Amino acid sequence: MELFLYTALFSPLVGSLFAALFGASPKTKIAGIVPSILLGVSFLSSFILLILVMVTGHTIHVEMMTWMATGDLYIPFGFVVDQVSVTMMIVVTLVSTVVHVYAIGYMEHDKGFNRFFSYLSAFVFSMMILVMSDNFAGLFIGWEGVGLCSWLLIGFWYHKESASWAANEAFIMNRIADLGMLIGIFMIYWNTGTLQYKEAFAVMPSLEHDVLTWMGIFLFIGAMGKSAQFPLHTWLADAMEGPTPVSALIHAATMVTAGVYLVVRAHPLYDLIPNVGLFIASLGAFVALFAASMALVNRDMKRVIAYSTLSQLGYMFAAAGLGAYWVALFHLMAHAFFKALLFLGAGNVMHAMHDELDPFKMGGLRKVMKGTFVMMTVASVALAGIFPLAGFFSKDLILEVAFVEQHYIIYTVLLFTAGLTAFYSFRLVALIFHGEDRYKLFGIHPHEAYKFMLVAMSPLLILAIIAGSLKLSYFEMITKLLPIIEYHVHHPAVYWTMIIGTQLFVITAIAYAYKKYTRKDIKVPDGTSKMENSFVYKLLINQYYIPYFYETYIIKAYRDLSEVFWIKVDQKIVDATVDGIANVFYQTGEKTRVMQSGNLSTMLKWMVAGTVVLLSLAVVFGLAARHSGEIKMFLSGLGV
Amino acid sequence: MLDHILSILIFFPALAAMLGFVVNKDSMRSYGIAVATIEFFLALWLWFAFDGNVSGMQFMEQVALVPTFGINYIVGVDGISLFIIILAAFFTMIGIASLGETKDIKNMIITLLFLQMTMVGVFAALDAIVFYVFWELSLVPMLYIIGAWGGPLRIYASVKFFLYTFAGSLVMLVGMLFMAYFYYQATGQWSFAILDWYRLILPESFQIWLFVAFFIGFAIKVPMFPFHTWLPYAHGQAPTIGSVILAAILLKMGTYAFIRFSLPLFPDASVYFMYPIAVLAIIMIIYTAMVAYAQKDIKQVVAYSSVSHMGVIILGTFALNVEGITGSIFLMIAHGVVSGALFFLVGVIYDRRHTKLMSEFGGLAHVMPRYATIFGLMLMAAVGLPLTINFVGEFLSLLGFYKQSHILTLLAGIAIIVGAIYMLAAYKKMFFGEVTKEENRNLPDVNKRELLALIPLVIITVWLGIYPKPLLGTINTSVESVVQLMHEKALSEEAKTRIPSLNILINKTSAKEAH
Amino acid sequence: MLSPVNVSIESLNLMTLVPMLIPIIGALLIIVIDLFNSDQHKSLYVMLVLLVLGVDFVALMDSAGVFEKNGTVMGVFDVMLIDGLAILSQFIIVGASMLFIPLALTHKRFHEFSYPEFFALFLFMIAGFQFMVATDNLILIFVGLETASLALYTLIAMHNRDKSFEAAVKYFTMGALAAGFFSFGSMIFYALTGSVEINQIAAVLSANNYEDIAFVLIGVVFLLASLGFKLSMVPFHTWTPDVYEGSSAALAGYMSIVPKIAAFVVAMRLFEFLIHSGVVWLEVILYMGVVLTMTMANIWALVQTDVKRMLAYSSISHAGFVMAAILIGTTQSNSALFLYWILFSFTNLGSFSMLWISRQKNLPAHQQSDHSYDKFAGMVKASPVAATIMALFMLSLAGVPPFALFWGKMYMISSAITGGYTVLALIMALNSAIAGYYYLKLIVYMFMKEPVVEYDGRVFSANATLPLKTIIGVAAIGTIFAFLAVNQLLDFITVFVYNSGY
Repeated sequence: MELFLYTALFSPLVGSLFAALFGASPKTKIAGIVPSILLGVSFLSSFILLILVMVTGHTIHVEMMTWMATGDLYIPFGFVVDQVSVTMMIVVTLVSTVVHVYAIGYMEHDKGFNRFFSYLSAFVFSMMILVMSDNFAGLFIGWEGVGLCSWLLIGFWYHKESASWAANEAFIMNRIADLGMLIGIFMIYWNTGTLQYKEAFAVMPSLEHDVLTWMGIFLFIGAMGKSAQFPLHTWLADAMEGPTPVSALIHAATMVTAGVYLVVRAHPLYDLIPNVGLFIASLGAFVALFAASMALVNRDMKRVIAYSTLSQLGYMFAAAGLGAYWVALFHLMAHAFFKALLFLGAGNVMHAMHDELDPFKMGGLRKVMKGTFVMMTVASVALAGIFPLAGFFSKDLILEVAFVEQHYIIYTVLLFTAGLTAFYSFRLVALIFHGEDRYKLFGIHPHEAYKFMLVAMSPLLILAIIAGSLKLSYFEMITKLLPIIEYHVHHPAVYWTMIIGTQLFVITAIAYAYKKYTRKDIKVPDGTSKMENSFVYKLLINQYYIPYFYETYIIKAYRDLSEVFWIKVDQKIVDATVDGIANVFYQTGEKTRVMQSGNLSTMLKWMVAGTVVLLSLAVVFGLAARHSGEIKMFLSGLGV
Repeated sequence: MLDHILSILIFFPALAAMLGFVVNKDSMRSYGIAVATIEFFLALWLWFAFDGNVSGMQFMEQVALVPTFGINYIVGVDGISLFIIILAAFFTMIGIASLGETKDIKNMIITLLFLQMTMVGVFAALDAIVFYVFWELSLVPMLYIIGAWGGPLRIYASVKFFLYTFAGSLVMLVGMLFMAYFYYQATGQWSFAILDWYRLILPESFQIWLFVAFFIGFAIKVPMFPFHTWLPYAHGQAPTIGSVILAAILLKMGTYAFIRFSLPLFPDASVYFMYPIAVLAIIMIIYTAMVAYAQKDIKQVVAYSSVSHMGVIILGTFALNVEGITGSIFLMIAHGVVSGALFFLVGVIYDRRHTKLMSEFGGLAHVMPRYATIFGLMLMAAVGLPLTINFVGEFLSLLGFYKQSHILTLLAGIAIIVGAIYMLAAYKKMFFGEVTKEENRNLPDVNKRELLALIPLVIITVWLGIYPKPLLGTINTSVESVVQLMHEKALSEEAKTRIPSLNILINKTSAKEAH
Repeated sequence: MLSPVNVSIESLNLMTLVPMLIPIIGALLIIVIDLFNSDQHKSLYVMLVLLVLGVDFVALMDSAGVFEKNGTVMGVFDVMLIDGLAILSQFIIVGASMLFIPLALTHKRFHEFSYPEFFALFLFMIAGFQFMVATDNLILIFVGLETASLALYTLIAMHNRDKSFEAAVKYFTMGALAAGFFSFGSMIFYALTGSVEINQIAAVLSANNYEDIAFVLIGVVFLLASLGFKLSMVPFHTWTPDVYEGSSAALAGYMSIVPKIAAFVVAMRLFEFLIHSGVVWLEVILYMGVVLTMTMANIWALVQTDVKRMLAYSSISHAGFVMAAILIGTTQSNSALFLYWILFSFTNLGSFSMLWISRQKNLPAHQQSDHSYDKFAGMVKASPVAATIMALFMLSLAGVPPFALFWGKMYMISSAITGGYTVLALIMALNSAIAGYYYLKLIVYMFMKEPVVEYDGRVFSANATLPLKTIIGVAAIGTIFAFLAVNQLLDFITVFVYNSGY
């Protein structure tokens, strides 16, 4: 079994290194094909492991070698395959295989082809480490590793200023969160004496509540960074600067869900601190709404999808926060499938439209790109959560959770967001595939993507459709590890009203989107229409002015402060003091050297003067000594 | 021969340097490489022969120097100093090997060999005065390197470097003499042997004063804020090789001395000053990182960044527990490797363009992909990415200090953020974007000789990042004994609690009370 | 009717006079030779002097042996006092002189050495210094002092340059004043105690436990002033730079060592008993004097443009540094004084000799003075070895280990610490740091600056001959390998100092 584990883990690395060999040389298909195959291998072995875990219920735990060991600290490279990690492994390997194959077509004209695949596989490797590690330090390795790879991939087209900027933003924001995570890890070590999941969680119940609370908070801060939760969310939208396959793999399916994975993984901790859980849930709900609202008006296809990702992550956190870990994981899985599908579809459209991103400039594309049209529509339906597609099962489950747990506010928010989700996703579909062929105005001749790319996408399509039906069997498996919490509303009437109500609400939203955006008279907005000048629109299109705020009040402030520190403090104060002290001596020398006039008589004067001073001192002292008695009396008379 | 391996390690380069005067100018480089390589393999042999499970000193040698005044030539090595010695040998080797076209290369190599003697000497010395001798002597070659091969401001920079450090260490000397005097009062005989001093328990008030005296000497060397301003000048003006050695080895003398002297000699004072020093360290970390961010000159960025990293080392040292101190020692090695490599890399571009201003570059990734890759890797190491050498050190140092203070560790942790900021910003300025300057269009990528220096560093960076055990284990053993010693010597209750007891037995537990 | 005084020759034990008589006889011999046959080459006289001094040295070793056997020896109506200090200081005096005299064998011809009188006077001077240190009788000290000084004035003047005459005159005039002070001071003490023997003065004073302290102090002030002059303590130092500049580099180096050690011994004899018997005033004044001297001299040295003047100030500062030993007044400090001075004489004589061999007959256009800094710019290119040796001496003077002077400094500072003068110790340390600057300045010029005008290397050894090189070699070796000798020196010195009750 370990063989499968190691294959699953290391074949991406091999693929990455293989592609790296061609890093300098001009692009060769082989550099793309081999990693893809290796990923396939990795997927297969993960699948075998899944079966194994499902059937036997056993979990595999291996310890490869020691990493760090000093004092009482002992950190091995240990890997565990249990229900949770195997789920993640499947998701990661499956999606990444698809994306790899897809990218062979997508990147074929890019001169960084080889480099791209080496990065992409490296990412998969770090992601595998992240999900398979059996201790927090190992998790952190993967955590930083995916950060690095996302930095490389967002900034893949480094000649673009915006790209490299976005890359740095992503990395730094994640770093801020990582600090929180690091502190969390320190807390765990000093309180439990180990970083292994098992042992650490075993000790936790015996710790006092505040410590646990802080642990939970700091770990979650880490999660917030990777999963781009408010207020660390801005990087995700900017990350769309990267090539679309990257967005599909990293910024939709896998990396961004690492935060959710962390919370699920640390469920024994969060079970002990429901108050933190509630906070997580509320934040999740808020982000779901917040992100969805920004998606409503945005005019950048990829950004819209990015916001929807954000919003779905919100759902997952809501579920996880409420203790429905398996639900969160389930939604994570389903979401990975249809969201990746959506992104890849968007990728096709971009290719067709020569990297045009504004859906308003498209329209009527369904005629020319059937396959993509079907896929994106299905994906959107799934995302919207229409029966019987994946989204329905996973998302409605979350709503139920909120309802059953009687967090009605969260419930309402999530429900409303579901409507918004449906609206913006179909706004996109409508604008891209229906209505007039607006692209003609821009003289673009769109074409469907390669067959094999569509074929590559098909597994996602299928899963996006049928994932829901796996729910029960999945439940069977996962609850061997995660707390068994059955969610069903006891009163069937309430249950059915909820289901149907939701469905109706969602469908209405879709219908409205179609009605609004398939009209013949859709023009490319030019900032004149009343709606565009409304306050709300401005607020949303500017992402609540948060990026602006960061730019002016944090980034710029930091830059200026640095300048001040360097010019004013370091040079004008610290260094100047040092030189100043040296100068004092030197100047004294310059000033007093006149004493050395070389004139004999002055010399003699000095000598005599010295003697006289000494003499007078001597006399004073002598007298003082002689009359010390009197002086004492005199002083005491003065009352000294 | 093994009994005198340390003396050989110390004086072989000096001797070779003497003979070097007669070697012909043209064959000097090969001579230098040969000598340095032999030295390096001797160092490796030392490692090989070193017993990692022994906590105490090994390969000790003792020769009477001024016995009436308790000064003896005592050298020895333990897990704390071993790897820094090897590192010194290593860097001298690749430093000489990768020397570019240098004017009067002969003097340069001779100077480097002398410098190597002093470096090894400092880390091997177990007698305060011998330590001091090498400590001071190391200034002279570096002074010459900066002053003779440096940039336009070289004389100001070198003199500043020399005098600043010199002044500091004179105060340290007074401290040492005091220490010897206390030992004299306690035992009736003079001794400057560190191991003798370890047995001495001083009242806290004395400890505090002596700690301060030593601190001034060490802090300037490290350099700690606010004594750091000589460093940017030194680095800014020094030739590549100078900066490399300075950053990789010479700075470590200060941090090493903290562990060798301050902690075991003055445990109570160490606890007493822990918070102030931690605060200084945090200022170093954040403040200098911000200053680094403001720099226009890539070399200055690296220079300030190494101050920032030294802050983490200091913090780890004053964690006063095994995790922290081990981490800080490991980080010394790590930072040596990484910042050394970064200075090499800066040198590479400087040789090509004769400027270090980042505004002069941009889009280098297009023209020098290999260079960009190596630079990127080292940058990620400097930022402290897991599985690179730096991470192990930083992680352990911070982890260790967390035991002492949560909030301060949180502040210090900001290092990983600000570090990322200035490094990524610098990298972006230099490598990303389009190639704007014509003269950058067809720069040659890194050549063989440069790779000769860089590849080994890359390998070490990754290897020790993934598998630090061979170092950590050995360091750990020695550190444990230090911590144990501190715990046993500590007088105040606070110190006893702050410094964990490892209840392991160490050889020098018998402690004398100074009047 | 006077009763005849009859004294046995034994009780006089004239042996105590031998070390002083030897140079005197030598001097006379030289003059006699000159009488019969003038125009001899200087080398003859140099060698003669060396021989004489050699014999003298042996005689000293002999009396050292005597001392080790049966301690301090008085002689000649108890005027002579041969104790450890006397012997040690005489060793330094004679040794330094032996190192100095071969410097006369220069490549260029210099006026003074063509006169045999120069060598005669030189020997007289040595005898004078020896008398000065080998007695505690104020009058004999005075006699010795004057003999030496008068000889020295002439030696300076013989260098035969305007500056030299000027220097000699200045030195003479001020010396006269100092002499006045000295005699006045001793007169007061005689008036107070009816004796001119320091130990008896001490006895009497402590007997009436310093009842009329005021007069004692006035006496002290005068002696302090005159000795301060000899030791060039601030503010009595003003003559030093000019005189050094005026006299030849070699002689300047000599003056920075030999007269000072003599003065130090006298100061020790005079002041330490006062300090020990709790004359706070003197302690305070000395403290101030020491700090002032080393600090101010350092600061002035910073701003010099001529290496020789710089060295002049630096040797003032060193004198101040060593003066601290007398303030501290423990056995360790007094031993430190001698150790320091022995090591110092090597280094300092070495560095002055380096100037001496680089001395051209007449001044090149682009220099304003004989040894201006920029003369040495880029020296390493012209003559690397010379530059390296010079740098060596500079580092040693700066107290960079492991070179000679570091050990002296270290032991001195340590003695300050053990003597309880912590602050003083710190001041001394920091002064060494300040001093570092101007020594470094020369190194910077030699190694890091480009030459002002292209030299051929010969400029820096214009004056060099084998003997000079030998002397420098000896000095250099002494400077480098001092650490091997320190232990023996220390043992030797400590025994002598301790056994003579200091």
